[in-house]
Amino acid sequence: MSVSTETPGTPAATVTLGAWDRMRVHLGRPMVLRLTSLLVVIVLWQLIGAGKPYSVTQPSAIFTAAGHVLFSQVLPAFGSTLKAFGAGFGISAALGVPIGLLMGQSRLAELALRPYVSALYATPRVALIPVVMLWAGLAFKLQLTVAVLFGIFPIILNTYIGVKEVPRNFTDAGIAFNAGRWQIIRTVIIPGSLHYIFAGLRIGIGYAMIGTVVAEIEASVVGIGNLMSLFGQELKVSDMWVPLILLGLFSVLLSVILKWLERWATMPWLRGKLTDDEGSPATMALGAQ
Amino acid sequence: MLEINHLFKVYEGATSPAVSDFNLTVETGEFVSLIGPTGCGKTTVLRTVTGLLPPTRGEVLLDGKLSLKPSPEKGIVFQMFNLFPWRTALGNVAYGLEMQGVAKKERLERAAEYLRLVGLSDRMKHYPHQLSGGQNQRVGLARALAIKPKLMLMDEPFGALDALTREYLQGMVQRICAQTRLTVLLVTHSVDEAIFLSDRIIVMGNQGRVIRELAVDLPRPRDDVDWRATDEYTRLRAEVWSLLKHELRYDPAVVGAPA
Repeated sequence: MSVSTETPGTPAATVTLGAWDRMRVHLGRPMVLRLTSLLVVIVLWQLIGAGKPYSVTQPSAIFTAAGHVLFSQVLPAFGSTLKAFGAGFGISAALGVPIGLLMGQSRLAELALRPYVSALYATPRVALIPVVMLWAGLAFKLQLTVAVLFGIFPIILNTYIGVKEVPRNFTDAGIAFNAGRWQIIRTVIIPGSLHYIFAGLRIGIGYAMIGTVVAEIEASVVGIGNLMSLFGQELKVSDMWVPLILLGLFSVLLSVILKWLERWATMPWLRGKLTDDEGSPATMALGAQ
Repeated sequence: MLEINHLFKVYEGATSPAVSDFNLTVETGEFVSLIGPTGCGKTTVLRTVTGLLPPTRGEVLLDGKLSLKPSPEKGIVFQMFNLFPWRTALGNVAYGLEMQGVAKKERLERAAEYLRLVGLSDRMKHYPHQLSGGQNQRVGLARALAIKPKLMLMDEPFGALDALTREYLQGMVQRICAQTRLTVLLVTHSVDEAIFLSDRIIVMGNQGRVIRELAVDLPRPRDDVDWRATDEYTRLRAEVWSLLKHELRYDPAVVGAPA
């Protein structure tokens, strides 16, 4: 009978993985899974789309089309869309959050504004486009107005609900320790409703994007939605996909950025990271500190 | 000195007053407890004195001046701590000073000093969710002390804590109050707590009626001796209970007679 001994200094025998095992480990990673899934979709699409350039089209044809239209037509049109969307979302946030705060804080504002906000939120806002067109024209002003009409209501409503949901305990503490009305808003109401405000912004940013593109498809003579309509009318199916994919990628990027921003602003007290400052990182994030 | 004169409060929509003609004087440096069954109006009295609740009638005087609004002269400790979850222990303790416009460096130094006083100097950068209930209430206590109030108001401050933590914090409050000569008004459900901490106990009944005032004649500090073994403790406890028993209208056949 032999007893295996290990001499000090000699490394213990390491288990080497076979090629298949190594591949399985890699395949389990989320990024690898995502890429694999993407690859499968592209290959299937390529196969299914063969011989159908005017309906399904193929990834290879879209790739070729991108070479022709991306820089000459799609990006300039996307620039117009981005400008209107950016300004529209900016206005929605800049007006929506204060309006929501006001409605949550003042009974008068609540009574005066809530019927309009609720009615406009419930109305299919696409129906407003023909009305808006009459005075906003068919270009930037139309895109912008529709972006705001889509983006502002979820921001107002979420902020308003957030303010209403701030626990009484917190406002009591603020009042008992001598906070004035503005101090209460800055140190209690805003940090206390921040996760609602962020939820509103996340929904609002998506809606503002939808609004901009819908206005362009429906009526506008500029922007990426308009370009897609034009490509569609000329049956340039592969060309149509180029702006569509660009929009998809951009929207994913937006939601990632916003999620990251939300984490950064609310994490320390929700997840227990330690910071070096006394105050709320949230109020600092909003530039209120 | 705190004076509450002819306090009367009817809540909106209520058919009977929550507090009807409540009167109390608390001398400077005195520790007074309000004890009574749920709904007797003791919390209404405390919230009115804090300035969180406007009375229907009546007045609250602090050192002779009308005081119906929150003021830096009044510090409050809440039952549910009411700390801001988005502020660290230090940020919470500094809050009252911040609202008074004390400069950042000074208020942080003072907050740190009071966190040391309650034994939390190693938890200053922690958020409330990282602290235990007892630690959070020590932060709440430090927040109230940090504004250096004349009058300390405590609304069942240990009601949400476990029995061991409660006794520990009661000892801490007794020590701090003795050191600072604070005037304190405490609302409590606990007969033992009232006896342990108070110079005087106000036993209350429905609508803020004062059933009886009892002076607590026990030497301080009370945690140095076996204060529950004294005759005075036994006598007070029996008396408070007999008064409350009548108020509570418990069925002795069901719950048994309290000791």
